[in-house]
Amino acid sequence: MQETLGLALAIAGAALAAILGGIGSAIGIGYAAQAANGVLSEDPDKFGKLLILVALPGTQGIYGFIGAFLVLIKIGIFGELIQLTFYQGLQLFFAAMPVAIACLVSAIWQGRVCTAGVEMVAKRPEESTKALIYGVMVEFYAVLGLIISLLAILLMKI
Amino acid sequence: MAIIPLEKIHIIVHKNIKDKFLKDLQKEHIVHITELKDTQTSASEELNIVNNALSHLAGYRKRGVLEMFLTMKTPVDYESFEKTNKEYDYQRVTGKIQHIRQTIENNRSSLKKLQDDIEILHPWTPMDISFEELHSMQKASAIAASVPSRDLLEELLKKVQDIPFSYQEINEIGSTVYLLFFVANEHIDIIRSRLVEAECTLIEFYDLKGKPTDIIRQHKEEIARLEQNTIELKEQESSLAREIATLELISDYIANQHNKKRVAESLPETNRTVNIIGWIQKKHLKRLENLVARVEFAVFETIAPEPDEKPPVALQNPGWTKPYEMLIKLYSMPDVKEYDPTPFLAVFFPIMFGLCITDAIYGIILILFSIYLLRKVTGDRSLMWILLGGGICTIFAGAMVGSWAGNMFELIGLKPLVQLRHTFMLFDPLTSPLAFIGVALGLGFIHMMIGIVIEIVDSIKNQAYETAIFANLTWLIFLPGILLYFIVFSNSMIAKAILEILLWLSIVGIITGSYTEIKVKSIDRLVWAVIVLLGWIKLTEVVGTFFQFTYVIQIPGYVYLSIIPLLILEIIRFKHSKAMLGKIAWGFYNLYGSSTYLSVILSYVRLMALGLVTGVIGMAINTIAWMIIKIPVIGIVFAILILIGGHLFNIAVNVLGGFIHTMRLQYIEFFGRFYTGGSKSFRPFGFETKYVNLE
Repeated sequence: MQETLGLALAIAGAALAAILGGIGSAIGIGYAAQAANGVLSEDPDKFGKLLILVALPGTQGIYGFIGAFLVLIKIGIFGELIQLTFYQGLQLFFAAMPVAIACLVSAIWQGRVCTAGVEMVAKRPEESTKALIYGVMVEFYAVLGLIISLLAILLMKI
Repeated sequence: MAIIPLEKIHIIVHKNIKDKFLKDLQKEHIVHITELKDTQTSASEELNIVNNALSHLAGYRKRGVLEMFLTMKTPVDYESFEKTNKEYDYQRVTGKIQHIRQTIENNRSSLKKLQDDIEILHPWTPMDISFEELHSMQKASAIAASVPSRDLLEELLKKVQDIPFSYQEINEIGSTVYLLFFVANEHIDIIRSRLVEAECTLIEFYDLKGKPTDIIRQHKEEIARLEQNTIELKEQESSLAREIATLELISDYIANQHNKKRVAESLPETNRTVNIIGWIQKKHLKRLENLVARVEFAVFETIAPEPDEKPPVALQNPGWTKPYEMLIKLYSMPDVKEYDPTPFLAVFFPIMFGLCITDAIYGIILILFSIYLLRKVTGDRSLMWILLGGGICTIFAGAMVGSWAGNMFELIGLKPLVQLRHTFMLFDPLTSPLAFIGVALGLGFIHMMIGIVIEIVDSIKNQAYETAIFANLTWLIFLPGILLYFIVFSNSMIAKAILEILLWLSIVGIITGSYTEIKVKSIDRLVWAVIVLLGWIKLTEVVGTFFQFTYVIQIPGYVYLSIIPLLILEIIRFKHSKAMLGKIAWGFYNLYGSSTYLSVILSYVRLMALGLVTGVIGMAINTIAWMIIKIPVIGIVFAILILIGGHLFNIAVNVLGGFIHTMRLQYIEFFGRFYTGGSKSFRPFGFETKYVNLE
């Protein structure tokens, strides 16, 4: 019983990392894409420039996915399933949390920054890179969350 | 690799030859004109017409995927630029386009009206008399109305019992009943108002003639004709799409003519002359001399800039670092007194970009892609050169961590491939992520140190020696010193002793000297330096005992006693020494600032995360593909599709992320050490084009 519970907890951690990162990115991209569509209705030529800004909050979803994928590799889901104790499962669950939660929040805020960036590019397309830099500042904290999750997952002894 | 020296010049031109001179000057493209008056030059009507025509034609332009992200400028030489403008009658084309647009617009509004009419008429089709007949009655009138439901109709009929009228039911659609009321003219107003009260809609058929069915038929024919006409017009318009390239050239030409006119109008003038004040590169002075010599009534001289004037800045770098100027321009041009950091970008940008991607196969793909772009794109190709440099570094970074399109080589399992991967691999980031973090942070440390060195060079160049030594050199010694002391030489007593002295000196330097705004006499400075030095050593010794830490160099206790006379001296000289206290307080604040150095270095850890992300996504793609390949027959097709699509997606996402994150590291972490920037870019008066590339 305890063994299976451990496995379930680890998978729950992986699932949450993928889900929360995905939710964050979906919301973030949603904000930016709506603004970008508005701009495109005026000037379709800005598509290329805006695409990058709109895609930026998408990375958190990927980070969440990576966290999830590493947990799945760790528990051997692609090969021989490892028997986890309850506590090992709990450890993996918590290890996945930094990336899951940091990605959720940072993607949403990055989406807002990128939305403002889209509005700026509408007026001053030559300054689009500066808008990107501000967006990346928000992303860094998702990266930090990812790093901690990576270290916790990879260096954990099972 | 530096900032190009500029000369300020003053050209005086007689008004009569102003236009001709400006034309030549524009062609030469060497003088950056400053001091233009604020004049309101109206927008160019011609330019609007051409650009309007271009925006109408934009929909017909065939654009590749590449053009969605990059503007491709057509190369053109100056002669044909002028010649095309002279020979090409753009008004013929723009006139045509305008006409077509106007007609399409008219068609559209006619169509709308016709469709509205049909909609209104539709319920009345059972009516078998024409509208002329309806309106031809002498003493009576017909009122057309719709009643929302049959119940309401019954009620209505009761309400109007007192008025003589007759009615005819024409149609019933849903619950709505359509009726014609016939009333004597004297009762017409009262029945109208009763009808409105009873929630009926009165319908007027203003200018319609004939029976409803006939009108609808005619309208439908007309609609078909108009639609056909619109299609033909659009075809005509699309055939004009071949004029796009020429129109773009004309648009550029007119825009530059207009710019010349704007400059001509805003130059400061005297009665007979105009003054052109601006900047020129020293090496171009000869060309300007020739230009002035060619015309009769013009002279020029070099003049001294105003004391606090900031000249525009132009950068000059050898070929291999030139593309990276783009990154500087994007941020802000350096101050004239500053060092141009382009060469450092040229070294560190590709390395960090490579670490963000860290996959040898992806590096090869990036190189191929950038070579393809370099062959294809004309005009400014800086970005592609940067991508090429980044691609090369990506191969090395990828080989270092053994990532070849993720874990592709291990999955294929061919011996030479596995061998190849193994030969170059330094560590596996999945089993030893800390090694990767070490590489990232180490690179960050070196980057930061170089930033401090540049600031020292800048300060020395500007004779700010105090800043150079106390606010920068001290850190340059202190930060690596700490590392060496605790990590590298932790077992060598002699090295530790030397380092201790260096660390003490740098700390005292930071505390007593790093705040340079307050000026103090050297004697106070020296005395306080000794006090701080001894105080610091004692303090750290006391704190160190909690951590089992002792200095190699032991200072005898009586030396500390010398603080007392020194302090007394300073209390006596309090008038002079109190300034020093402020300086020391700021110095401690700066010392506390060392925490920013820590966060700056930690910021480079992103390189590791991004690099690992690429590898893991690559692995995920491979894992999925290798699962699918087991499905018989179609498995292999899907697997190949997933591999190609997945890896290309992975490259695209990570190149984007890698580029921006690397850029941030340059702008915030690196430039933060030394860069002021804020200069205007040197932009000589010449041709600025949007569509063509003037050669």
